Amino acid sequence: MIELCRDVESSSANPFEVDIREKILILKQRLPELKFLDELLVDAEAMLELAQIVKLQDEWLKTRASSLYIDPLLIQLKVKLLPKEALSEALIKSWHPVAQIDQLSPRGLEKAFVYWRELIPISERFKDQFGTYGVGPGQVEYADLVSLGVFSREQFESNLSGLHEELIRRSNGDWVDYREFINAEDFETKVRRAYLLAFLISEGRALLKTEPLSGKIWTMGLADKVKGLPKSVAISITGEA
Amino acid sequence: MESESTDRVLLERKVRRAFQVLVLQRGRNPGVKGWEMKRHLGRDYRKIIEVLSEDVSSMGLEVFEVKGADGTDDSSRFLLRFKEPPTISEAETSGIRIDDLAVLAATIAFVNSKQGRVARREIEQFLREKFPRWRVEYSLDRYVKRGYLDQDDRSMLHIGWRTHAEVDEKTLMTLILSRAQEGAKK
Repeated sequence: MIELCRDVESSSANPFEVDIREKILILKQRLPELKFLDELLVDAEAMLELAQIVKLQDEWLKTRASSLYIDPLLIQLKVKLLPKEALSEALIKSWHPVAQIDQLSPRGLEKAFVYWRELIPISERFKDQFGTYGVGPGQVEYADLVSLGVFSREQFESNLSGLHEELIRRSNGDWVDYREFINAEDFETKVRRAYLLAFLISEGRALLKTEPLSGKIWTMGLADKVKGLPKSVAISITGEA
Repeated sequence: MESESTDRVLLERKVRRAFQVLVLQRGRNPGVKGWEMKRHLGRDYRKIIEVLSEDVSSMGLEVFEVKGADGTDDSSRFLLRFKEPPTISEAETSGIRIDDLAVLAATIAFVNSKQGRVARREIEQFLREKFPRWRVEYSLDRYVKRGYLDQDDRSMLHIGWRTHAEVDEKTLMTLILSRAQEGAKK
């Protein structure tokens, strides 16, 4: 119940999807069974979350009843249709800027002085978070990854075989989009898949084809290893899908 | 007769004081809270604000009230703002980037269409279809910092107090809808 409420609170889902009456009845039925302090605290937390949902329902109704409510899909479509210039023009035509004088006060000057005096040199500032300035970006060898514990040798082999099988199955003798193939829910998995696929390509168990004009990259799985003149291709991977 | 003249002088003095209080920035955010106005001008501060609003009208300004979260007089924020929106060329000469304004316009429209609250990642995803990723993140951060948007501890974005103060949201929504129709016709 708490998780459900939190999910609704942290998304733009309709808060009326939570049946408050039903949930309160459940809490009421369970209350006599609760004996320990921990259980009672969780019960209170559930009540608090339900109260938050009621608050959201209130806000939801108020906005929906106001003249500002427009179907989100309609707005998305309209915004997509409009050029940036027209969007900014719409904002300017409904904008009433604040008129104000910015001035330097003695207090502001003092704050600036104290800030400057206590400012740590830039070379020292982020040491705690990022450590000292050391090694720049570079290459990591497979052996290094094994030693770092990112892969174990067995895990690597089984992952490589798994990806090879998946590629053969998905390509089925045809080219498949490289970015679609390596795509995953999280960035880490995506990089891992790209790394493994690079291994398969280097070993001749998969092919890679690039189209410079369209920027498209294709790959194909091979059941048998092929030999040819290897070429290097640099592909950047971003966090975007 | 003498008393009337004294009242007039007192009123003029208070109106002048109200103008000074509103126009000088104190603290990070513009505007003055209701309780501060009461402290500077006395209990009848609303009447003085009304007189001031009429006086500054000839200069194209007005005193605008933004209601606070709890709706009380004390929590209201009073600001001096342009009575009419600036022209496009005036806005352009103020150094604001078209892209930044377009991001804000699209964000306000989207948040309002989603009952006033949207997960930040959802709005980022929506905006990335139209603007580069770096621009989206940079602009959203800046608008949160400047009070146009409000981001809570669950990373949900809401319309900020400054948008309520400076942007006529109803006009914005109407313009976006009507412009899109024009765009589609073309």
